[in-house]
Amino acid sequence: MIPWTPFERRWRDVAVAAVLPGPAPAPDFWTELATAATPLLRFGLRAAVWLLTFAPLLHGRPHLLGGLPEADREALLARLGAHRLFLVRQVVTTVKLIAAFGVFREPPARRAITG
Amino acid sequence: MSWLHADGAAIGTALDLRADVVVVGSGPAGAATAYHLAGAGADVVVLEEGPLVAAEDLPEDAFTAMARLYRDMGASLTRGRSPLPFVQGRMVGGTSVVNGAIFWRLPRDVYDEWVREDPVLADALPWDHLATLHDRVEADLGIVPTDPAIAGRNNDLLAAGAEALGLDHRPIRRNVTGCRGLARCLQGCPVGAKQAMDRTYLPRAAAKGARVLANVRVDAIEAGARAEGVRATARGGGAVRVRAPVVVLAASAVHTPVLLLRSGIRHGPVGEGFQCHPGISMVGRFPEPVRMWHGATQGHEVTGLRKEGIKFEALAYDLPVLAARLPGVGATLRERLGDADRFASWAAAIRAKARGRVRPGRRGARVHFDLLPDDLQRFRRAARVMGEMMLAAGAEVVWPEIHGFAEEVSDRAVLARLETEGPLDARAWTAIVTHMFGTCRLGSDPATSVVRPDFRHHAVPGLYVADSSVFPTNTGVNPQTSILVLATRCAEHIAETL
Repeated sequence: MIPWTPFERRWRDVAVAAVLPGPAPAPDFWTELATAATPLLRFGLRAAVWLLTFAPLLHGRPHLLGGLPEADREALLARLGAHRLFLVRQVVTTVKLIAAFGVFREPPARRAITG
Repeated sequence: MSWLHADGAAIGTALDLRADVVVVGSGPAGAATAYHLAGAGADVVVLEEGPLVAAEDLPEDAFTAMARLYRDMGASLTRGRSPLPFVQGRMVGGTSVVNGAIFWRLPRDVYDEWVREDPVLADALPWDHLATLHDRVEADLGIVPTDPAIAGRNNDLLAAGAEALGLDHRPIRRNVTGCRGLARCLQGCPVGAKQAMDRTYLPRAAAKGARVLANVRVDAIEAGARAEGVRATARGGGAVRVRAPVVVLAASAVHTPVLLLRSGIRHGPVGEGFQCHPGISMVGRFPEPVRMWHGATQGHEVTGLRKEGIKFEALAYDLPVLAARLPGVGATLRERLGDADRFASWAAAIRAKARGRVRPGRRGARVHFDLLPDDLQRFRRAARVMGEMMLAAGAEVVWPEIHGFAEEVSDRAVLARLETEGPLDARAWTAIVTHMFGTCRLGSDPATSVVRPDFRHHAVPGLYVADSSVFPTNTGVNPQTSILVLATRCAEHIAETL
């Protein structure tokens, strides 16, 4: 398993926050995920983070995902989430599920919803 | 726990055991087989790949549960046009620890299908005797309909929606005792109310002398002219060998055929004929609080379309799964989640006609499976009826989560279009596979089955299969009870030979 590089970690955190804004997953979440996830899921998440990071360039915007204004970021992700290609839709779904796993692992984030 | 014979995490050196029977897997099939054989006086060893987890150590959140209790973190995927996740528990008690505790007797019409196709089964599995075994299993596990006092609004609304559409519905009969309605069945019951195998048949088998080992993965079946035992690896690194003249495979319809193939036992259509119940779900927003995290995870079901191969159940998701299931991202998703206490969530499982196959993979199993157009038509109908029930129960809006279809719907006329115009491309649907069958089917003809009607392998004396691999078809209903009953029948046949 190749560890995330510092810039990949930044991209990952930006993508997660863009998909599900709010408190970020705790650092130990990523450690547990790395241990539990299958190689395919680990690879899929990494590929998804790269694709989302560079998606603005593919759409004619001279920025990485983190450089876009929040509303544009959401619009781009929504467009990718409804893309005609199954694989592209799965990229957004994967990041969304992992983000939700991380965010709602923490009791305060859970209580904020469930009361 | 005191009844566990050994934890493989602590086995670092070679361990050699002898027994009358070694059972591979501790889910419903393995647990029932071990319980009945130990009761018949056999010396039984049960090997389970996963850990034993005490109720108080079961996690609250879905991620931790999936990471620690599910195989592949719940992310095992079928291969085919549309990869579908299939979920299996990997712990002592198997999936019974993390399922919805739903009990359904094998339907008579499904049994009749089996017998029509292979009349010998009527003698090997007499209906009246199966009914007696069903009674016994239900008494053993305390099956009761969901208590209305703890059912919760998510279940009540499904009842209201079905009633409004004139569909048969009922509280789900479950193996629970003292359920408090914590909506945590899928993470494992933290108060031990669910009467899963780790609280019932396994400790009872241990009390009769069975030795249950956790964290021990079976690598191969040892067989020459007949079954001789198994070779395994403990989590602590030790090589485990169990010598036994009877080997019972109960590792699931995915892993039992893989174990056979890896062991070079390739007779018959092993791994072929994989069937399942693919499921879809729908979330709807109601005007009043639903609070699906208070109540039974799965406490009510709609049976009115069972003969069409469609069955509906209330299904309370934990927050991460709910969030991932909602449409939208970013601020839109966050805003939607702000209304989460008003969401209801239900699921539909279909009796798919499609058949796939299971083969060994680099890491476990490769399951090849593609839905047929008939199955997708059932998805269309199920989604339409599920949405209509939600709207009839008072939902303001429902989210079908079907690519290419309306993102949110509040009009029944739009849902009606789903049945005729919904996508027939499996990749447009958000679906999951549950309940797997048929990869070592039971039958009298060695060309079309892997085990005989008495569950004995056609070619290897002493080798038996007890899990849902042996089912000739899928059942269209939750199979836990049928698995327990058929495994008990398997144990009866084995007991006659000991």
